[in-house]
Amino acid sequence: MKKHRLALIFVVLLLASLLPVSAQDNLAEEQVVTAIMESAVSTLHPSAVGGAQRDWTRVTFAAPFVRTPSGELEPWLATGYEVSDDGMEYTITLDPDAMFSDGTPITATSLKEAWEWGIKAENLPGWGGLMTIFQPIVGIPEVSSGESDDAEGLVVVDDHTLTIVLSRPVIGFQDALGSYMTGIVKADDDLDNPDYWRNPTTAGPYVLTWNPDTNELDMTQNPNWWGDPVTVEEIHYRLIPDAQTKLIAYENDEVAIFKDTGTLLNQISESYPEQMVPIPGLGFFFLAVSNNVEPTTDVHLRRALLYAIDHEQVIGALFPNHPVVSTIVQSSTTCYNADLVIPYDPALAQEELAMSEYGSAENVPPVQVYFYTSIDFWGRILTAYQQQWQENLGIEVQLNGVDTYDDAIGNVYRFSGGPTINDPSDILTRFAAADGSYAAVANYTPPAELSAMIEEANALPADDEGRCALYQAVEEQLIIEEAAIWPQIGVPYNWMVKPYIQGFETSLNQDINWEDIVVLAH
Amino acid sequence: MTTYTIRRLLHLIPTLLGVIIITFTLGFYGPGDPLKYQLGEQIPPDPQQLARLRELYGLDRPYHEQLISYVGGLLQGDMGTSISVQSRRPVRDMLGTGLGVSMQLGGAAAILIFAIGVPLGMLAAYRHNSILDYVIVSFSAMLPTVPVFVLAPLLLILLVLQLKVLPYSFGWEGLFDPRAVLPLFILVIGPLLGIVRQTRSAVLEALPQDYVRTAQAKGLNDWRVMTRHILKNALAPVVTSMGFVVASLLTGSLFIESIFGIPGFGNLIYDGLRSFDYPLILGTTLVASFIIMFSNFVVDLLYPVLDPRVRLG
Repeated sequence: MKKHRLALIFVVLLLASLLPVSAQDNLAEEQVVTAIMESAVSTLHPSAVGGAQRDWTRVTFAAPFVRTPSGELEPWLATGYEVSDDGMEYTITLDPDAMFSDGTPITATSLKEAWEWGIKAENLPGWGGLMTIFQPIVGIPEVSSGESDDAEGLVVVDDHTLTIVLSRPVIGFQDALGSYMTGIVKADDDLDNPDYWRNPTTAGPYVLTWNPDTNELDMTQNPNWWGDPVTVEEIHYRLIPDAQTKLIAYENDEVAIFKDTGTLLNQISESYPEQMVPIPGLGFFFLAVSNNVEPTTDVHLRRALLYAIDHEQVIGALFPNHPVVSTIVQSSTTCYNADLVIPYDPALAQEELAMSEYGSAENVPPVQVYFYTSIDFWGRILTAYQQQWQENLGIEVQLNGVDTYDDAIGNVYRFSGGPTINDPSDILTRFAAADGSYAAVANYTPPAELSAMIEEANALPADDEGRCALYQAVEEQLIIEEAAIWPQIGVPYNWMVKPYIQGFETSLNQDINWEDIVVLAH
Repeated sequence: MTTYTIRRLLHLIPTLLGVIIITFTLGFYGPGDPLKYQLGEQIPPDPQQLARLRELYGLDRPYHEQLISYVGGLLQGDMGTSISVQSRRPVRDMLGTGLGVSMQLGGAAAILIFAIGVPLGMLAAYRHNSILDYVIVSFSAMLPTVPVFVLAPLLLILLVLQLKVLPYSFGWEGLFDPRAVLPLFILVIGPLLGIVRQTRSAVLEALPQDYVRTAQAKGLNDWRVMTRHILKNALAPVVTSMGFVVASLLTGSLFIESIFGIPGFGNLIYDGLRSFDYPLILGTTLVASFIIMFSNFVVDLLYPVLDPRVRLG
């Protein structure tokens, strides 16, 4: 009998050992993660953060919502929102338990004041920051310019309810409330004091300390975090500007997470494909053509130039792992048009050239192409195009590498851009509207018909069946008919995440869901 | 000597003023607009916002007003405020920290270069045309030809990833931390070999001199002849070179600091140039110029100590 009992215990133990071990059972003793910041921190306040800083803004200066990898909003500082029937008012309900790291409650007034502080011109970055998504709110432009201190469109209903009133309907505006730029700061604090940001009051699962002298940023758990408990105890961000050193530090297990913005793409694709986490919904590099400067005022010439370059072959040959794109609305955004193809057709290009007012190549004045020398690979791509334009059309193209487009009057410019919301309205409006920002910087004037189309599309309800078709028509006209925007390369951003980091997710914000991450024993 | 020292110190003032005026003028009238550069490529400049920012940073004033204001600020220890940094840190604070790190690293490198380079140069000269001499001369010709941005990753892969001799690949935790070993080594290697060659040449030049023969005839052993007679005379050109080496080491190494993630002065120069941060560029240029001038000044003061025939005044 005793023998049988022992055998039974042995079998039970054997079976238990065969059961799958959950992540919780296999946690590392020290829940500490070191990550790399890609560039020195220039600011911490959410309304102004750019590339690198958005990694941690989510968990330190909470926005009303967070974005999931697929772009949906999830409650964060707020528990939910409602939109009025006319799409002009968004009412958000704040979590009644939400509080700053110093223990003071977060109210609707706190959020209103934080945004009013962040939107002031002196607190915005040069590229616009929060203003890029808050401009449609009533009274925001006035606060930004200093004409007023009170944004009329931010209405405090009660302690936990804030209504946002827009000056015009913006489809997908709710996505803006999941942007890192809408994160909250404590406006009562001395935010204008540079030293304040060394140890600011935060709102979210973590508090942070920042040493601007050494570029070190450390996060620890916030004792006043109102949400589910987080597992990672300490997060250390360290600056490594050099891409190769980043990879060596990662391979040497000094860091567990870093973001690659394309520099190491070939290496990591070959060596660690399973550790790559692509950042969804990103933008793209494109060439924009001015229709206000000779000789590209002629639409036939613009088409000839576009059809004479084989961008798929050139980019594929020079950068084998980089995604080649042919659309403005990328695959991760709604209304993506997978069927849109930019033709590479030298014969068609020559026909277009013949139809142009110049008739033939010898009559075409040199085409001026401008690009930033700070992004080195564009010199190589454009040199290949220069050769194709010469071979296929006989047109002389001059390449001008510059530090800034200030005072650069040319025909073709290299830009990059991307959506701020998961909807085509935002990015296409910037190209096709009469006052579109991308159109303005490229010195491109969209034809009235195109601007009317985008206005019509923007006016349609989000669930209108014809809406996507209309946006796709706008896109096709911009690329193929107008030959004004030439999409080139998708931004190939990836997180590199060690296998012992579990639960990692990222979103359009390029952020990290530190609140869900656990470190497994390794 | 005292008069000379005071006179040389006073000479530093107009030279520094010249550096300020030239750098300031180039920045003011040179191509590009720091604020428009900050705006980036995606947003068309809003004239109102530009105007507000210009006013905020005092960039809306005429050239002479900005220059006088900058010089006035300098006299009170104010080097302006960084314009690329939203937190608007004073340039003086930024430079103080960066310079502190670079000075530790550069100072240690300078000591090593002198302590290793001079004896190696002497040895190469003493064993002239021997295998040892060939090895030293060959290395001194070869190693500096490998650029830092090639040498550093190669050494990182070899010593950190493959051999695992060093535990860390990046960061700065002070001079006595293992993190400092590789940057220090790379910082030393280039100038070291230059100093070796220079010492070797100077010693070889001194060896056939009459005073060396006299010393040998007195019965002094080779070590004493070398250290007491030859070295003192041979050091003058080496010290001149060391002046330049020390200045370049103290002002940081852009590549080394960037590769190893060291928050030093070289990184600040890089940040300033990359982001068109006008006050930071001015500040780093000014401090670097001062360090170079001061190094030359110290070298000048050392000449009569090494060679009594040199008279200052």
